[in-house]
Amino acid sequence: MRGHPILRLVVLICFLAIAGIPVYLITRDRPVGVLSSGKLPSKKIVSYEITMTSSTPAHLALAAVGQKPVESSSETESLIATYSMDAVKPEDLVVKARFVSPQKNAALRIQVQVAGKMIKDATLWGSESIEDVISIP
Amino acid sequence: MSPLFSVLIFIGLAPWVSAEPIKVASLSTVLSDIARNVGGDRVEVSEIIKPGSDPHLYEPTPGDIKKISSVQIVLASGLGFEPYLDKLRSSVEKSGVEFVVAGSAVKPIACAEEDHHDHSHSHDAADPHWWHSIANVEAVTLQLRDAFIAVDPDGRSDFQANARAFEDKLKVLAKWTRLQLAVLPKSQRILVTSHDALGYFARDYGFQVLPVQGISTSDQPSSQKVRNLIQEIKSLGVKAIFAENIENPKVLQQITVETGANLGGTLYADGLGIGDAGTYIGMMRSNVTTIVEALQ
Ligand SMILES: [Zn+2]
Repeated sequence: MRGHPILRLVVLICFLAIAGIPVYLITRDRPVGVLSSGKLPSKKIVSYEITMTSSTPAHLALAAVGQKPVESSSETESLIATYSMDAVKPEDLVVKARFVSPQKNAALRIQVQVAGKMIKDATLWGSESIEDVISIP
Repeated sequence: MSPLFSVLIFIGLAPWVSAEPIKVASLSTVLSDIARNVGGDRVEVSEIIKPGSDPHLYEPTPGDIKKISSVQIVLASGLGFEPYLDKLRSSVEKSGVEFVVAGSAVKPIACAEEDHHDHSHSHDAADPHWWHSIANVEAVTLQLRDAFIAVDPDGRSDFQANARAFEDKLKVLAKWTRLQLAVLPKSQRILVTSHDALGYFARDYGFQVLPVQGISTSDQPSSQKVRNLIQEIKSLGVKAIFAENIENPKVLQQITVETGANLGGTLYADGLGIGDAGTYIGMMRSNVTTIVEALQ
């Protein structure tokens, strides 16, 4: 390279600085307190209407962390409850059915709606009883 | 050989009584357990990796290679869990041994980001700890069933029945796990672990994993990384952090002191343990119980 030595030095420094920017961006430590996974998403509480329907009379029960458990006082074929939960991370539903007359392939349908829109529709099968967990998307 | 068996051989009835079991070598304690469940008496499993040992630090010895050369099937986790697998495959090629790689039967998830991961062992881009998803273990159960049937077609009905029985047990385990975890609020489903082995579990049950970088190796995590993690644990209000068999207690101690989080107990991250955790189902029950008790 020809030219004044100082000019050559300036050109070299500029080149190294430009080349170093992407390296710095890739290798720099993330500052404390700006961890993406550490940020708590803001809560958005919404009403979940949960309907349990049994194919045959049963004692039905519904529970979720932080919510009041709901249970049918006698045998019934349906149970409806409304839970207010965080829409970002709604809690899992624990559903139970104890059938009055045990039979093969008794069904328990669980439907979850938010503002009239169905967001979960699941059917569980059992004979004497059913106990399982339903996750809400 | 028992006198009865000698008599049966003499009159030609031995093959009806008991065929020679399929010889299997296993590079994973979890796969050993699945193989025993599916294979029953028709399979003889040699554990190359023993329960309680660290599979990441394992390298095949000449004795192991000799043993593997004498079997019909080798069971491996795959997805980069055994960095020596290709070399092993070529060194036992002549013996005709068949490799059954569990990773090919599961849908892998990506490894955690590099800034959360500092293993000394080599992992591919896929997370190789597939067994922390019960659904994956169900898929591998069917894979082993088919592999055993291919080698021993006479055992088809036995392998099918054994696989069905094990699948039923896995379904019970899966439901038990769901019910146990249902008591944990979603906001508390955070696993601070020594290394990033519980990604599949986290995906299945809505957990966030925060592995302590570098703690599973002789390298110390940088002080900046530890500070970031401490900050994150504090901001999320994490109740407990979990140890594994490969860990640096000094760093864990520092984190518990600075965050106020408790030590939540030991998780089986890289395979089976001993005692109650010596089976896949026992290991999962132990992990789930430890997690629920610590985070509830
Ligand atoms: Zn690992």
